[in-house]
Amino acid sequence: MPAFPNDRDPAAPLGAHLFEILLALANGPAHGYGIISDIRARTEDRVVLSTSTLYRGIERLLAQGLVAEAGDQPGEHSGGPPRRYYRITELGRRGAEIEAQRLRDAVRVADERIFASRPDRGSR
Amino acid sequence: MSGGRPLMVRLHAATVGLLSPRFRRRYGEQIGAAFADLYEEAARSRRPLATQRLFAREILGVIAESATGMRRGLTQGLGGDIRFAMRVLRKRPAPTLVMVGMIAVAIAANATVFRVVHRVLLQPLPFHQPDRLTALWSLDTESGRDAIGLSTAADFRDLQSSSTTLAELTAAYNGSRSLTAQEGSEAQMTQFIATNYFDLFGIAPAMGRGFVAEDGELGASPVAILSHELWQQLGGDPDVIGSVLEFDQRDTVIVGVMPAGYRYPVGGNSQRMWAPMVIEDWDDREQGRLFVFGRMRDDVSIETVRAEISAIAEVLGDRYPDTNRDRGARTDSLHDAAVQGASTGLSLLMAAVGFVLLIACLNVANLQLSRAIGRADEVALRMAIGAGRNRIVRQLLVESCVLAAMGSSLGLFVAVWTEPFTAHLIPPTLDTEFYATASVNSSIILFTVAVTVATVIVTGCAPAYGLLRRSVPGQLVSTKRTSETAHSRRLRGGLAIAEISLSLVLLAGTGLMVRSLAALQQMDVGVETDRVAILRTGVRGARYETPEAQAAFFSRVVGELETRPEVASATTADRMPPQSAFRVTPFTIGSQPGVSAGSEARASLRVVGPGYFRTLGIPVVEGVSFDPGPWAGGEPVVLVNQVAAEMYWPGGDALGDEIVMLDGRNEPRRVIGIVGAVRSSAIPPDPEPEIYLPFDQRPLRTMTIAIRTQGSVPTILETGGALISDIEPTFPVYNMTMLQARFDDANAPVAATVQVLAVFASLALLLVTVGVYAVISQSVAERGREFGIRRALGARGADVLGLAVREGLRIMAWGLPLGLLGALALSRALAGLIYGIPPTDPVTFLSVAAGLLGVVVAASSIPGLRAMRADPTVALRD
Repeated sequence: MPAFPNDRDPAAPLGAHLFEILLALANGPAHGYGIISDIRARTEDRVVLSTSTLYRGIERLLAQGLVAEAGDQPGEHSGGPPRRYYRITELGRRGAEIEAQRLRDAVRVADERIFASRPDRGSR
Repeated sequence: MSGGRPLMVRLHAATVGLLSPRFRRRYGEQIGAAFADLYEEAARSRRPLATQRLFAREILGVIAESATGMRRGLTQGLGGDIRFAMRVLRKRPAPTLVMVGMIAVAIAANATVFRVVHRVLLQPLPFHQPDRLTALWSLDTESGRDAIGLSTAADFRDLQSSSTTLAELTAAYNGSRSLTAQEGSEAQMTQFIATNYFDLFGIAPAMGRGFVAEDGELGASPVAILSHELWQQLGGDPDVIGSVLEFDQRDTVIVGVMPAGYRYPVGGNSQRMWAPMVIEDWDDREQGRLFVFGRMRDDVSIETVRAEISAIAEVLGDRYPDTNRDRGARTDSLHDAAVQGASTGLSLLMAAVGFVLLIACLNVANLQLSRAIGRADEVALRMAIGAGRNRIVRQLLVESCVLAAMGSSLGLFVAVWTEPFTAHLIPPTLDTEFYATASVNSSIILFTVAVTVATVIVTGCAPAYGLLRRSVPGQLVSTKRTSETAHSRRLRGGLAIAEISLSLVLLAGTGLMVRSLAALQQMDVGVETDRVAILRTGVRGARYETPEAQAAFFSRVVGELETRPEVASATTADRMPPQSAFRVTPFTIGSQPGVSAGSEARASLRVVGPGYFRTLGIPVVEGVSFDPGPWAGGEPVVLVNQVAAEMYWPGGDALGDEIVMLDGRNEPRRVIGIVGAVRSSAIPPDPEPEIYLPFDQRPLRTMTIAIRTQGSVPTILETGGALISDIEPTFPVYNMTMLQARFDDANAPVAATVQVLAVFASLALLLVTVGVYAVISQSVAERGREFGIRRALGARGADVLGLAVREGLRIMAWGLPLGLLGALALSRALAGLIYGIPPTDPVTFLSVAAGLLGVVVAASSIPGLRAMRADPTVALRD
C-alpha cells in the first residue's frame, strides 16, 4: 500500500504494535532485536512481536515518517550483517503523544463507566 | 537442544522466503539477524522449549505477514477489474446469458439435491444427543441373507439386563386402537411404548405428562398420549388432559399430547397415539415384534456396543438353542436406521447433479476460451503496455467469478423458488413432514458457495491457460487472419470430449436405471392385482377371545361379501403381498428324516382363508388349494409354493409329504398342494419359499380382507367397510386400498429416483448439445476463409457440411470410448441397484451411444449448413 510521509494525519489512531515500537524507540535508537526485547520486557511477555511483524511495522512507520533509519552498527550477540538502527522522528513523538492522550482519555472513561459501576452491578 | 541451532535459523531463513519479494529484499537480512539474536538469547535462557516457542511464533508471524501482503496485492485494483469484466460481459449479452443460464441451472439442481441430502442424511435427528442413540435389530442368520427382524420380548429383556455399554434400553411395537365415537369407530395407529421411551429419546409431550413406570404394569388403568393431529381432529380441547376416551371399549385417560409435527423416525411414522407397552409373556422368544433402542454410555463407541450386543446374542443362542440358535443381532446408529435405504438413491442423484455441473462448467470454459481467443489482440495490447501475466489471468478469473456469482445467485433463487415442487425428492420411505422442516439454510448456501468456487476454477483456468500459451508479449499483430493455432483448438476439442464422455456416463447410468425400473414394473408378480380391493380389520373384546369366534367372524365377513353380485370372490390373509410374510418358520420334512438341528428347511409363513388363491389369481400348480373349506378340526394341512417345492423336494415329491413346523406345537401337517410363487416388496424381488396354513386352523385377531370385484374398487371398499361396521360397529377398518397400489408403492422409491435422474440426464444432453454446437460453430467460423477458398476452388456445399460434421465426429470418436469406459466402471457400482438386465446391458449402452451420436451430428451440422450457405467471396474478402 503506497503511503507517503506527509499524508498521515498525526491524530489518527496508531495500531497497538506500531505504538509499542514507537515507545521502544522513545528511549533512543535501537535495532530489531533491541526493539523486540524492550517491548517484551516492558509488557512482561504480554506483547511479543515476531521479526516479520516487527519489520512490517517498521516499514509502515518509515513510510509514514514516524521513524527514520539511524545507521548500521555491528551486532553484539552473534555475527552476521551489521544491525540497522532506527530512531523516532519528531512526527513520531507527536504521533505517540496523541496516541497516549487518546488512551488516557479512554482509560478515564473506562474508570468512570466500567470500574465505578462494578460494585452495584446496576446498568452497564 | 544441541545441534538444533543452525537448523532452526536455516529453516527460519527459508520461511522468510514466503514474504513478498520487495519486503524481503529490504528487510530479509535484518529479520534474519534479529532472529539469530533472539535465538541465541532463548537458547541461553535455558527455559524449557524457549527456542521452539520462539520458532513457532516466528513461523506464525511470517504466515500472517505474507497473507496480509497477498491480500493487499489481490484486492488492489479489484474494483476496476470487476467493472471491466461487467463491461466485457455486457458487450456480448447473448453468450453471457447462455453461460449464466447454464451455471444457474446446474447450481439450482445441485442446491436442490443437496438440500434433500442435507435434510435426510446430514441433519441430526431432533432428539437429545442423537448421536448416542442406537437401534437394535434381531438378525435371522439362518437364511443366509441376514434378514433384519424385530426383537422378541424375552430377547429385549435379556439385552436390557446384560448390556453394560448401553446406559438404557427401550422398546416399542406398532399396532392400533379402535377409538369409539358417535360416527362409528376408527382405527388409530398406535405405538405401544415402554414407559422410559420418551425419556430415552429426550422428548416430552407438549401438554400433560409422559408415561410413568406404573402405567406399564399389568392391570394398570389405561392411559394414552395423543398426537397433536389426533388431538386437533378430536376438537383440540385445551382441557383434554385428564379427559376420558373409549379405546377398544375401555375407558382410557388422556395424560398427554405430543408436540405438532413430532414424528418417529424408525419403524413407521403415522402414529396417531401412544399407549404404554404391556407385555403379557416376557418369556416369549418366538414373536419378534419389538423395535428396540438404546442410548449409548458417553464413553463407548458404537463398535463397542455392536460387539457387546452380538456377544449377548451368541450367549442367548447357546442358552436357548430352540429359538435363538440362528438369531444374531444388529446394531445401527439411530440415524443410519432412520435413513436406511434412502442414502443410495440420494448418492446417485448427488453424483448425477455433480455430472451436470461439471458439464455446464466445461461448456462455460469452452465459451470463455472462444471469447478469450477473440480478444487476443486486446490481451496482447495490454501485455505490451505493461500488464503482467498475473494481471491478465486475474482479469479472466474475475470474469469467471462474475459469471459464476450471477449464475449461482440465480440458481439459488431458482432452487428456493422450486422448493415446493421438489418435496417428492425425499424418498417415500421417509416421512416428508419430519424431514421437511429445514428449508434453505446456511449449510445449503455454504454448499452453493463451495460449488461456485469450483465452477470458477474450472471455467476460469482453462481460458487463462489457453490464452497465455499463445499471447506472447510483443505479439501485437492481428491474429484474425492467421488460422487458429492448433493448440487452442485442441484445448477446446478436449473440453468437448470431456463433456461427451461425462454425459455418456450419466446417460448410460440413467438408461440402466430406467430399464431396470421397467423390468421391475413389468415383472410378473404372480398375482392378478387388477380389481382387487384390500382392507384390514381386527376383532376386539371378550366375545372374540376364542380362536373359533375369531375364525367365525372373518368367515362371516367373507361369506357375506361373496353373496353380493359385484363380488367375484373374497378372502382373508394375515398379510397380503407384496408385504412379505410376518415370519419365517423352520420345519422338518417327513420323507427326509435325520436332518440335524440347525439345518432344517425354512420358509415364510402365511395364514390365509379358503378363497385366497382364487381371489388373488395365484395358480394351483399341483394338488388342491384350501377351497372350499372348512378345515377347522380336520387334518392339519399346508400348501407350499413352487419355490419351496423345488428347493426342498428336488425329486418333485412334495405333494402328500408331511412337514413339522418347529414352532413349539410341532404338529405334522400334510402338503396338499403346490401353488405359484408371489414376489414380495423386496428389491431384488426374488420370490421366497413360502408355506400357507388354512386360516381356520390357525386363526388370528387381525386380518386383511381381499375382494375381487367386477365393479369399481372404491365402491367395494366402502361396501366392505360398511359391512364390517354393520356386524361389529366397534371394529376398526383401515388400510383400505387397491392391491395394485400396494405393488406400485413397492416400486415407488426406485421410480422417484429414476424420474429425477431422467430429468438430470436430459439436462446434461441439452448442455452437451449447446457445447458441441459452440465448439463446431467457432471452428467453422475460424475456418471460414478456408471454406471460402475450398468453395472457390469448386468444392460443393455438401463438402463443407461434411467437413463440419466430420469435426463433430472426431470429437465423438474420442468421447465415445472414454465415456463407455466410464459407463462400464459406473455400471459395476450400480450392479446392486439394477434388476432384470445385466449391468453391462448392450441395449442401453448402444442406444445411449447412438442417441448421443445423433445429437453430435445435429449440433455440428447447424454451423456446417450456415457455412454452406455463406457467400464464399465474403469469407475470402474478410
